[in-house]
Amino acid sequence: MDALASLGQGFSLALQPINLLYCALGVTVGTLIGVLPGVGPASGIALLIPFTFGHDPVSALILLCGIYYGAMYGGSTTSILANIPGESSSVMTAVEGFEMTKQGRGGAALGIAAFGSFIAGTLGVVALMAFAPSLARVAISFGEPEYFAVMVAAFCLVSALTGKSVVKGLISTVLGLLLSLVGIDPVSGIARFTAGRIELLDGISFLVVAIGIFAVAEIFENVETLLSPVPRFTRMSLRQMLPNLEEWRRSIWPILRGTVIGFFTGVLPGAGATIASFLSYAVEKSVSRHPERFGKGAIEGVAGPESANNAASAGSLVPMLTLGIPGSGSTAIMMGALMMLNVTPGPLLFREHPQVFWGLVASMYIGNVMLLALNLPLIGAFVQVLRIPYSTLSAVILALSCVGVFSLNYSLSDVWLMFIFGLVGYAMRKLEFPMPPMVLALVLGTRTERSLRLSLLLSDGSPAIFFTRPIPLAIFVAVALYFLYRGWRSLRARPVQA
Amino acid sequence: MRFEADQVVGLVLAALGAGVMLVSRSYPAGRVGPGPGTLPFLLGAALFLLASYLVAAPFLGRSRGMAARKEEPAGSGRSWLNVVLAAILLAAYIGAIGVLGYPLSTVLFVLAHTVLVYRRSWKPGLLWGIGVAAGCYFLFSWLGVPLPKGFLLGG
Repeated sequence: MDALASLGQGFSLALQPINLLYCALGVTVGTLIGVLPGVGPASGIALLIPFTFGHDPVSALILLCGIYYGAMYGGSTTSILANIPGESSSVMTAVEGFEMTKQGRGGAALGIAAFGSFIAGTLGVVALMAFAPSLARVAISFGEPEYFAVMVAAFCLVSALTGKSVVKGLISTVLGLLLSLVGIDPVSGIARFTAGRIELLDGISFLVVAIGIFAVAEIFENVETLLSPVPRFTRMSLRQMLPNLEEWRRSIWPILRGTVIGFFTGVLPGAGATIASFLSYAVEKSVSRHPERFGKGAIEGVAGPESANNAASAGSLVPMLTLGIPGSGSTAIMMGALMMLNVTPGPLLFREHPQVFWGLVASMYIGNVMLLALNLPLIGAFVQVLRIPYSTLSAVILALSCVGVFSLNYSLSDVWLMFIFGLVGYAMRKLEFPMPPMVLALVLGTRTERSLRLSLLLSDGSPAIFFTRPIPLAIFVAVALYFLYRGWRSLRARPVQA
Repeated sequence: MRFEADQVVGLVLAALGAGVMLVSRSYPAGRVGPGPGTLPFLLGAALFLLASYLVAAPFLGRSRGMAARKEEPAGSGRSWLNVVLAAILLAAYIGAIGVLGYPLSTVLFVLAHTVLVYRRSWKPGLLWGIGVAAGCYFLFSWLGVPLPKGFLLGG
């Protein structure tokens, strides 16, 4: 059993004290980020990247992934107790969970959310372990034209799925690709789009952009309303958080269905945890024999979506690790971090750095246990962070953003650039341009251009190469069909809207 | 007629796309296959076309649902000022780091952000500022990042 031996090695790596510490730190910070409204997982991951410099890539990935799936656990807490979704993927949880709190079953809702997240998170890792290596084996035979096609498909899907308007998503992608071109062209040595500034010759670091448009812009947006909710919570004992038999019976199928829905939604670029939780909610409502219970505190509506968003976070690691193509803002940021540590995710990762993958898988098993152990008894403690007023928290996040960006190159011009991207990100939020496509394009831009160039070198400059090889042709046809379908659907929907 | 926000943005982005196309023409062509200007030119063109759609959309009767304007829950006059104020403070902070050093400017920034933007009392702002400045300073110094010390700490 090759996989078992690799997993064993992964565990020996993940159980090293330093990695256990990183795992614990990651899931704790992740839970805090999940609990805090106004601090998203993408911002949290971006802000902690500077702390991973100079560390082993395995430890870094363990830390960053811990934040990612930890945030999915934490997001449920405030949704259930106070109707404040900490993350967009917990919106559906708030609908049913807060109703349950009003009926005095908030503890059970928290309990089922934690157990569901644990089950889905663990099964999600099993699926990750099963699918990722075989997908990587397929992907290793890909040539540059195939890669180019996969990347274009990822850009199109992320653009189409993350925002309200496909056109704005595509614009966001194009802007991100253009940003990735800034600096010296590695092939010709020509400086592109640097406006004569030496600071830009090395290109724009994705981290500067990510912290700017996620963390800084998030704060500008929240400052608008001066929102700082300090909700009241009643203390809850561990006993109250154990769901009763009836509640378990009603939840177990939603948890399992949510896991499957979540994992596969997570694998798709652009879909991710939020869509997974909405899908799961819709499915539970439609298969339920008592759909009238939904909206009035149905525990199925907590169990399904909470499981789905955790499984989705495992699923979304599949394309990032096997193809080197992240499907969301958070995974794009993680991938950028890995690249800074000289580990390039993709099919070769499994051959060249198998310990990164297996160490991560093992740490995710451990992390899920830690989260369950942390969440049940310590929910009261986590909720206390909401006592820190947002006025202070926002100032602290801004100060951390500045020092984090500074630590990249020890350069204040990076910090200014971050400030500019903070304003850009704020404008994007106001004008409803989605941000994940931009970060994704920035992270993948250099690779995309290289694939395009190498492909066209193979074909002596003829773009026909993308339409004569089977895989790129199939991908481009699928993307074209998808956009035709979207276009047809919106044309058909027009008379209804007007 | 009144332009929608999307149209104004579309015009700016279309101009940007045209500019990118123009600049990328100045890069030398590749001998075989694409040169350094190929992808930028294509992207510039794509940006121009997509942005033009934003400008044209209302004329095509497609403006509904494009920019669903959400009314701000709080008084909208105040909210704009808050963002401008927060941005100015952040800019002043970044400028001050190089002059006053990281620790002192961080204390002042956290204090100013709490008091001026959020109108909270100065005491917690000052305490948090000192805490954050000291925490970040020691943590990042330990990580080996040479933060600007400023004249206070003689750096």
